Formats: sequence, structure tokens, C-alpha cells
Amino acid sequence: MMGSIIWLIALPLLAAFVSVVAQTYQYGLLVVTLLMNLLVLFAAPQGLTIIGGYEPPFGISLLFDQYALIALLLIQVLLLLIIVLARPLAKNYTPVILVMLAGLNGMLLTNDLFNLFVMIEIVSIAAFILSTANGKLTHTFHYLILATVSGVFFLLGTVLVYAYTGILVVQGLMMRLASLPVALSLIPMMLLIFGMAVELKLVPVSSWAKNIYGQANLLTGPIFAAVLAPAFGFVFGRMMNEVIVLHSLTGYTLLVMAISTFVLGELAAYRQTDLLKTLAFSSIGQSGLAVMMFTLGAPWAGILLLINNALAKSILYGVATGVTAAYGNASMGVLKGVFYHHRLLGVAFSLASLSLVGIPLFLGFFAKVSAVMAIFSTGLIWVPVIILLTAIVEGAYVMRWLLQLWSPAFEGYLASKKELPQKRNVFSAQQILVVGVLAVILFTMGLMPQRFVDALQKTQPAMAQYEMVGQGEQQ
Amino acid sequence: MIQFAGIALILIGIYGLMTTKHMIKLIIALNVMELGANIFIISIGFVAHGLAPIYTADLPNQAFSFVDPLPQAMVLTAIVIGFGVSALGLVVAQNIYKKHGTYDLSEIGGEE
Repeated sequence: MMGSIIWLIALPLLAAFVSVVAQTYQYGLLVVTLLMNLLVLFAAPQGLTIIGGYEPPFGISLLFDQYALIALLLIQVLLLLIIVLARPLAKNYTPVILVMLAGLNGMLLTNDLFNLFVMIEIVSIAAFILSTANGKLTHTFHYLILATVSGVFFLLGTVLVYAYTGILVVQGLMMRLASLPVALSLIPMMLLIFGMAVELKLVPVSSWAKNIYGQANLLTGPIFAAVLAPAFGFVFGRMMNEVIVLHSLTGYTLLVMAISTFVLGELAAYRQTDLLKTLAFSSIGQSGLAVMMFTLGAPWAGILLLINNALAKSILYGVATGVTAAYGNASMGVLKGVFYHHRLLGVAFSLASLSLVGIPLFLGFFAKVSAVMAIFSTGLIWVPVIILLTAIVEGAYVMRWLLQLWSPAFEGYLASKKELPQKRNVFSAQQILVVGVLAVILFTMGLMPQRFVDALQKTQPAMAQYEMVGQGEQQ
Repeated sequence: MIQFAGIALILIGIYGLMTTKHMIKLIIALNVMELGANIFIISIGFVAHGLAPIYTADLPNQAFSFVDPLPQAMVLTAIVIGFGVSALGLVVAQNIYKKHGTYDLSEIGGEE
């Protein structure tokens, strides 16, 4: 019964409807749905699933390959841990989270461009509602307007692709688009890129992320940074592999947007004295780096960066929103020395920070080395230089925060002077356990990167037709 | 001709989004833009003197004059999504109004 991948979309949708009626069992339903999704992931065979008996290009199909498996596994596991971590908040948003889960799974599985638009919109609407949990409705409104405009662009791009090719099947669409004259394929490609730019937090449309991420709570912070962000990243990777033809104009526009996002995001993060805002700008910067990797033909590095960022941000946002809620403020002054009271959380936070920066022995190190090596091979020497220089900025603000949060040199002095914040209850034992599990997963991946990379290597068939910047014009 | 009408509405919507800070006007501009996009999509499947793509006993004589049904299906879905987003946007705007007493974002300023 669980052998079809379509359950990954059907189960959360069904559970969402049931959860509205059976409100007492909402949270349990969410947990059970995620656990059943994990079972489906391992039980379902890989391949193309035809829906309703209508074969492509006449019907919608779902493509379940190794690439989709990695993305889906990451999303289900992280969402499961996040809803356990933020249980009281998650209870109030169960139907929304379930609808979002159905949309996310659909987005990562669909093999139809218009269906992808529908799934993106479902996820976006759920994300708008979820962002109201921050209590800053003008931020939600701002996000809603930007994301909807980008959705219209994506829809127009999709329709133009259909008008020029006669199909909407994602798999192999690039070959058809590449055979079109540049003048024809240029506009739909630009529309699709701008259509995804808001959710990818690319400059100049990343302003919403600073607000939503910067005011996040224990539920919204980890979900936006560790579930939604990597999911859109994986979808972008698929689009770059199967749909988007990079002409000189589209390729360099995307590259400039990605590099600007990376550099400006990290520089803005350096300037912040508020922990949540630092993480918000860091998320923007890291998104730019992953997009840069997919654009420059380094999908492995892009996937590694997405996974590292998702795991690290789930811990960082979990701990940061937890201590912010407990101590009332995310500013450096208030949180100075806070890990003196919460050492386990401090260790998990430090591990995630170091992996984010890319210190050796952590997953982030392998991700960043892969990125730099892959780009060196393209001949664009200045790009690795930018990455390395920006990594120094990233390292500087991460180290500054770690020093402030631990306050190692003054902890005894501050404690004796009672200048440390008075100890407050941040997390229950169960929540600390969840943060610990996330930290162990991240740390283990860093210790055994080769085994992890070997599993990733199986995504090669999905990445075989990768296009480089400007290559679309040559075909 | 219909396509130009769609593009014109999209541009009017974008102009509206860029020139107003009033939340209700922003949602109206968004709807104008979506309407333009929908008209543009319908125009993609348009066939002059075309028939509705419905199978009848006279199918062999009609099949070649059908309009493309797929853009129509897309527009139906896009309208539903647009409705949902507009409704949600209005609810958010109404709640902001209850809190701040204005629909004008420039009067509210930043919410930190």
C-alpha cells in the first residue's frame, strides 16, 4: 500500500483535512504523517510515477530519483525534529504545516512545470500564514506581495515555455528550449529566474527575509531557514538541471544576483548586533552561495551547501530563538555569556556555527572545499577569491558571536559581579535532546564525509545534463 | 491584440505596486497584474473561430478547430490561487488596520 510515492503528497493533505475536524489529535497526526512519509520514502521504488494513467506530456507525473530522495529525506527528518522542538507553537499551526508539507513534497517530486507553480504557491501561502506567528503582520504583508508578484512572473514564464515548446514536462525540457532561438527562450528563462528569486532570497528581492527571519520564533525560524530554504534550493537545482537554459544574459544576470546576495548578505550579517538578524543575513548570504554553485555548474557543491546550511541553521535558529524567548532580547548585550548557563546548548550552537563557516572536520568544510575546487575547474578564478574573502567575513562574525555568547575570558568575573544574565529556563530535557540529535547528525556527517558523499554520487544521472553559463546559446 | 491587453494590465499592476503604500490598493494592483497574466495565458490557447474543446458525436469535423484547453485549465487554477492569496492579503491588511488604525504602510513605519 505504501509503495507509491504519491502518498508523500496525499497523506499530508488527508491529515490536514482530518486535523481540522479532530483538533485534539492534531499534533499526533502531524508526527504520524511525517513518520509514515519516512516509511514511504524507503518503500517506494525510484522512477517516474504516472498519475491517472495519462502519460507525459498529457498528464502530470512525479519524478522520484536519488536527488529527490535526498531532498525529501532532509525535509521530512528536519521538519519532524523541528515540530518536536517547537511543540507548543506547532500545535497551533498543524493544518498549515501539513498543507505546507504536501506542497513541499509535491514541489520536489513534480515533473510538470505548471504543477510546480501550483506547489510553490501552496507552500508560499502556508509560509505566509506561518510567518504571522512572528506577530509582525507588516512583514507578512511585505512577504506576501513580493512572493505573489514573483509567482506571477513564474506563471508567465511557464506559459511562454508551453507556448514555445508545446509541453510542460520538466524532464528534458531544457533540450527543447535550447533548440529555440535565443530571442524566444530569453524572456521565459528570465521570467522563471525572477519567479524563483524571492523564495531564493536573491538581491534585490531579499528584503522580506531580513524581516521574517530576523523576527522568527522557535517554530518559524527553523522551518524557514532549515526546511523552506533548502527545499527551494533543491527545486532551483532541478530547474537548472532540467529547464533553465543559460544564455550569456540570463547566466550572468543570475551570477551577479547570486554573488551580490552572497557578499552583501555576509557583510550585512557582520554588521549586526542582534543574533536573529545576524542569522537572517547569514541565511540570505548562504542562499546566494548555493545559487552561485548551481549556476556555475557545481551541483555537488550546491547540494552539500544546502544540506550543511539546513542542518546548521536548524540548530542555530533553534537555540537562538530559544534563548531570545527566555531572555527577552536577541541583542549581543543581553545574550552576552548566556552559554555559561546553558553549556549543552552552547556546544550544539558552536558545532553548528563552525560547520556553517567551514572549519575542517565539519561538513561545511567539505562543502566549501567542493565549491572552490569546482569553480576553479571552470576557469573563473575571481569567484573562488570572492568566496574565500567572504568566508573570512563570515568566520569573523561567527567567532565574535561565539566569544560573546560564551564570554570565556570573563565568565568567572562576570558571574562574581552578577553581570551575567540570571539563569532562565530555555528548553525542556526533550528539546535539548532534539538539539543534541541535530548536532550529532551534523557532526557525524563531518566525521564521515566520504560515506555521505558516496550516497550523493548516486544523484549523478539526475545531474548529467548540466548546462554551464552561456552554453545554451551554443546549441 | 488580446495579448497586448494582458501585457498592458500586467504593466499597470506593476506600476500600481510601485507607486502606492496603501495596502488595499496594493492588493488591487496585485489583482490587476494577475488578471493581465490570466488574459495573456488565455490568449496563448486562442484559435480564431475556434470551438470549445468538448467531445461530441461531431468530433471528426470539429477536432481541428478546438481551442487549446490547457491554458484555460491553467487560468482556472491561477484564478483560485489568486483568490486565496488576495483573501489572505485582505485578512492580514485588516488585522494591521486593527492594530495601527491605518492601511497606509508609510504611516506605520518599520515593525521591529
